[in-house]
Amino acid sequence: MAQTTTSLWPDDLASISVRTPVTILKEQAAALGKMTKNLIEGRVTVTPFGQIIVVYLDLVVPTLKNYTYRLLRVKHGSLLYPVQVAAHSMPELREATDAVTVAVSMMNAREARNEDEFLAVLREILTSEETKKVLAALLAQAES
Amino acid sequence: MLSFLFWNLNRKALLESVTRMTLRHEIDVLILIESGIEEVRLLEALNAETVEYHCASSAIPGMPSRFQIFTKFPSEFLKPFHDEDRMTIRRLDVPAKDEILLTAIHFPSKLALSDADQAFESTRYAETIAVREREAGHARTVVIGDINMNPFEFGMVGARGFNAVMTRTLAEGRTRRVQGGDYPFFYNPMWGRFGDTTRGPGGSYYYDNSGRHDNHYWNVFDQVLLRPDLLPFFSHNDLDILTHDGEHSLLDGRGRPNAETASDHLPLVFRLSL
Repeated sequence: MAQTTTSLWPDDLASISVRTPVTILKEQAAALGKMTKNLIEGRVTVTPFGQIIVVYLDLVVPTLKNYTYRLLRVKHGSLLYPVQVAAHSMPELREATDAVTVAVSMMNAREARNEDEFLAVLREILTSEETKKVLAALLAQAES
Repeated sequence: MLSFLFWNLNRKALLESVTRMTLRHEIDVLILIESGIEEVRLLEALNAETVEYHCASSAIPGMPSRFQIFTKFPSEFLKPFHDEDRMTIRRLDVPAKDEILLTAIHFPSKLALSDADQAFESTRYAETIAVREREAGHARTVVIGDINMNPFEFGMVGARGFNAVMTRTLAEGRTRRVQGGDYPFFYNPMWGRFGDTTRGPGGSYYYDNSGRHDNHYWNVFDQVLLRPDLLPFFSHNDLDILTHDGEHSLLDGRGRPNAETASDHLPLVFRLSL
């Protein structure tokens, strides 16, 4: 006798509105391009490490043969929040490509428990003196 | 619609002309070779009013490139696929459109290679393109560049060379068999850009070697080649050899490329209705 299968999954999946850290970082990347006339571009890449997702925001100078500065990395699990945010890592940790080095590079990360907290942390990092110095240096390099 | 502009600038800093033509023709992908323009200046000029263009010249971080490439698409839509000194292949993968392989070539000139050398050298380019097509899983390929050969030369028409034929009907045959080997066609619309019956100039490059028996005056070294899969998206009306930048003529008083005020090559503009 054939049995009918009943879906036990929530029927309101599509109505859950989620603004992911990736989306937010891509918006900021686009905003940077507009501000600098694309002399400096923000590029966002996503790398999964098992159950962990790491998102990078790089500052790229295309006219400087794609010189790249890794501004920040954001790490989260299957749930989007909380996220850990680390900026201006030491150069040797910026290019981390394995889970252990990524973990080390996140040692001094800040935690944001939700989207609002993430936006606040991001604003602080993007407007920090250190970020301003990096952007000014990259612009000067691009212009020279 | 995707629009492309290609120009060999003969090392001139033709910033205003390039900017004017790019904006006027609403170009999506601009490719320059032998450019005397600093990339940063051109990027600033293209984005002076509206920030639309990205510099995509460098395929490999830190590596110089003989191609200057600017595009309205962010870098993730124009990904490096193959790079060597005189050829770059990019995967142009714009949302809601089929991916195309955009191949830019600056082929060695006749100053460096004999006709026979060019013919043999072209086989390596053709093989590389075919290998990359197999890797990409499709043959929606556009070749654009200064190929430094006319469409009728061995390197252009040879089966193991670019195998670029003069009519759409021929190209629609897709391949031809020579000595047991199958070779894919390109369609070369530049065959139709010679002489007085075209709507443009007699060619894209003028060379007066009239003291020699072998002399064509006008040459079509700057070419666009299309694989058959792209023919449905191409019309002859969407290909032009430009003679004007919108404000200034690129020709001298005799109707030849003005190498003094512009370049010794004329630019190509073409569109695909993808």
